Amino acid sequence: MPEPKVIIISSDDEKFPVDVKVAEKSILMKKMIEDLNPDGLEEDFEIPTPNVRSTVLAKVIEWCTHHKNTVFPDDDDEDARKSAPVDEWDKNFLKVDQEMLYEIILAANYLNIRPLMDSGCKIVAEMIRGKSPEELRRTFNIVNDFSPEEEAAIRRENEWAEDR
Amino acid sequence: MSGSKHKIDETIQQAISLFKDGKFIEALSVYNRIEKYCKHFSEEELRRIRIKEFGLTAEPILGPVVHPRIGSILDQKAATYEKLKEYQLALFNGRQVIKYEPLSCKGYLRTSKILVKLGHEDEALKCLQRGCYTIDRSVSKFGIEVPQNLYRNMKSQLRSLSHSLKMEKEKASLEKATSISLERRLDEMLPIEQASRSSQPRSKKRKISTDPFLYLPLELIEQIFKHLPLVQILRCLLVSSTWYNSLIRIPRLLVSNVYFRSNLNFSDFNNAFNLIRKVTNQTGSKSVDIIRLRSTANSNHLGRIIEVLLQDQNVRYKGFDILNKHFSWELMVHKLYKSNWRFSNFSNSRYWRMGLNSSFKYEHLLLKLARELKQLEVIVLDCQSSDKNRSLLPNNSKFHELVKQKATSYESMETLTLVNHPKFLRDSVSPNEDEDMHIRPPFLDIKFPNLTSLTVVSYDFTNRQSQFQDFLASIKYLREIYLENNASISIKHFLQDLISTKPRFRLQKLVLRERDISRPTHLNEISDFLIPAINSVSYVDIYSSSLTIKGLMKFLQIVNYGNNLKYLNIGNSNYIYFKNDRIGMSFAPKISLYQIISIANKLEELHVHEMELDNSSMKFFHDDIKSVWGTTQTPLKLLNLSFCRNVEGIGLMNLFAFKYNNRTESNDHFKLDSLILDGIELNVDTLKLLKKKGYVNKVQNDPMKTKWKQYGVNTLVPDI
Repeated sequence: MPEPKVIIISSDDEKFPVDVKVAEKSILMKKMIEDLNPDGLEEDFEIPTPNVRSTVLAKVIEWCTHHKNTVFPDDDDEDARKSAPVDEWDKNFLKVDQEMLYEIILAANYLNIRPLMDSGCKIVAEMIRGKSPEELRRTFNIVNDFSPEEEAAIRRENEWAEDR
Repeated sequence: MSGSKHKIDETIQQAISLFKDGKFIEALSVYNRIEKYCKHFSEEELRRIRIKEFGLTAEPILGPVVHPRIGSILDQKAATYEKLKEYQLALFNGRQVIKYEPLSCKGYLRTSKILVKLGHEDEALKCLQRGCYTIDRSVSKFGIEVPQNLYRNMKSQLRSLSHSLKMEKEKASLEKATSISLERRLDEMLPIEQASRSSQPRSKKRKISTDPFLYLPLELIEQIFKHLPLVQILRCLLVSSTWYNSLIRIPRLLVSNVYFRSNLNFSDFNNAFNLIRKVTNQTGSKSVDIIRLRSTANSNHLGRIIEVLLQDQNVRYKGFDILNKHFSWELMVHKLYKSNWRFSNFSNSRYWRMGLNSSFKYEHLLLKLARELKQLEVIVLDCQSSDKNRSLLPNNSKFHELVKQKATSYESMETLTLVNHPKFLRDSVSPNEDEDMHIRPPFLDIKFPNLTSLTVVSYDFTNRQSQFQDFLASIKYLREIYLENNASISIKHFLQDLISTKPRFRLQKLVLRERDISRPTHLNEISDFLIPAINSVSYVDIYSSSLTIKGLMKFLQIVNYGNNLKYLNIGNSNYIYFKNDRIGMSFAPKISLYQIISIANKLEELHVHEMELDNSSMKFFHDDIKSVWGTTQTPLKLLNLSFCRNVEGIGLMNLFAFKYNNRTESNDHFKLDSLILDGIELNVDTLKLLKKKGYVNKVQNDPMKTKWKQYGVNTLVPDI
């Protein structure tokens, strides 16, 4: 008999059969698998993810498969997580359009895959880093809705911090 | 004031009936009157009204302290303006409702409805998203209740709006795919479209915003922004009102670490403080983790800044960090006196770091005012005369009374750092009383039973040895001690003190940099190796010591008695010479690395910078390491040879793989993780070769460096 699989179901009802090891990259799924199968998986186990659509889920699973043997710093070790640079593979993997990137971050947050969420957040942070407000508006297609007076008032509020 | 609730409700009813009768203008004037009335109360009165007349808490869970009816009044005003087709005014009032009552569904529903009417569907969506998010969070966090029908209404509005926008988006992206030139045209159209949007039907062909604030909830926005420096986050406030209003709702981003830039003037500070107040109001958290001040335009500006810090009602500081050449403890006392000894903003501080312009006096007063300090650092940055500071002290009875009350024990302190200006110590000639104030170590008369780390630099312990012994003996759990450049504290005396007082603590880290090195120390007087307080240290730094080889050997046997030593710094030792090539020094006894590492055989880091080492020494090092540890199992990971200028490339090669008679044994070398070679000029290729051969992973080489540490003797004084 073949090894039982975890079948992850997207919001649009697409089914993704994966190895337990891959699914367990998600702490949410790991807990679900453990709680509902205390003696280990004996048959295929379905997990619905009602807020993740199939194209996003496919990406998330691709990430989990690539990293199935990677050892990440402890989730509770805030400093280590914060200072670690983004993995090169992740950088390429997350070269997607902004909307997709946000959806991956949301999915990673929902499924509790901290390293993927961290990589995504760091990449968005890099899009912001060093940019002026005008450059940021262009990057994200944002309309400046401040009046010149409001803008001047905010400018006064924000020029006091140490530059580092 | 009593009966105002009844009166207000009656007036509201009157306005509502006017509204129902279609008399909108009249209704408005009633609403305006009553709005004005509700806003005329002071915050104090509002608190009372909320409790007494409405049975509410003094302050709402979210948002400012306002009259409980103000939300409904403004909402109805907005509705009236809607009827009058005055949409901008309606919008303004709708937004006011959100501002005053962020937890009421009404404001979000009203505002989004008006925004849809104005053709700003995406902003309406934002508004509803914000509302649902804010309310959801508060429901789960604080367990508040919201009117279910309104809340359901909000959710369903949000769903239908987001659905219709999505459809539109898909259509737009299809169009984007078919024609790139169209996109360019859209870009050009955008400003015009924006200007005409309020009066004309909205164009369907608009570039879709990928604003992360629209896609991600605040907690993920926080996850993104925590990777960015404060200056960048502040710059982001200017992007749009959504960014501004979201960012000021995340306390841990903007006001957890308030680091002011240098050369700050009071008006910059005041502007910053307004923002801080805004954030603390929005988030309901008054606490700032740390406020950090550097230089200011002049002492006047600093004084006014300190007044605000002491007096403002909105902010409390867990940590305070000031390094400013105008600052003195006396100035703080002066401002305290002026603000009627109000210290409540700091009284729960855990961390204080002060850089002073002269010595630290009246130190007991600080411990009296701040009762929960865990960490205190006092650094005398300058050696100005203290006359000017003294003139700042108030001459009133309260002050004298406060100064007189001295605590004998201070429980919460864990880390104490006292760094004096070395010039005070150098210049002190005759110990008259005033001189003595500058070189007297503070706090020796207080017990800190829970201290784990103690640092004392550049003070004079002459005639105070027994007091210092008692001070140390009272500490139970000291883990780290750092004593540098103190008069009358030598390695010998320190060991003797430990032998005679037998303290309970067991140190892990011992740094003892002697001041007086005029005579060599052999440690002949010490006969006992069993000194439990320091027998199992893992970190020892006796930089620039007076120990001789004999003294060092004895010292190592003591500190490595428990075989725990992993870090050793014997750099710049004055009476210790390693084996080398120089003939002139041949009569002086030489130490070999073997002698050190055969005692400290778990050593991971060895710092022997500023020593007379050369290429031959490296050969000896190689042999010694091999004979103690062999080549495969060396625990040594780091070697610091900085400023050993006679060590060259060939020497470094010898260090790792010295070959006798040109016999090549390729794997017969040992490995280091890192090698520090600052202040030495070396060929870049040599350094590359060291790595290429696999001898060492990291090489640090800054040939321009002039001193081992940047600030000479007093290595703890920061650069400001």
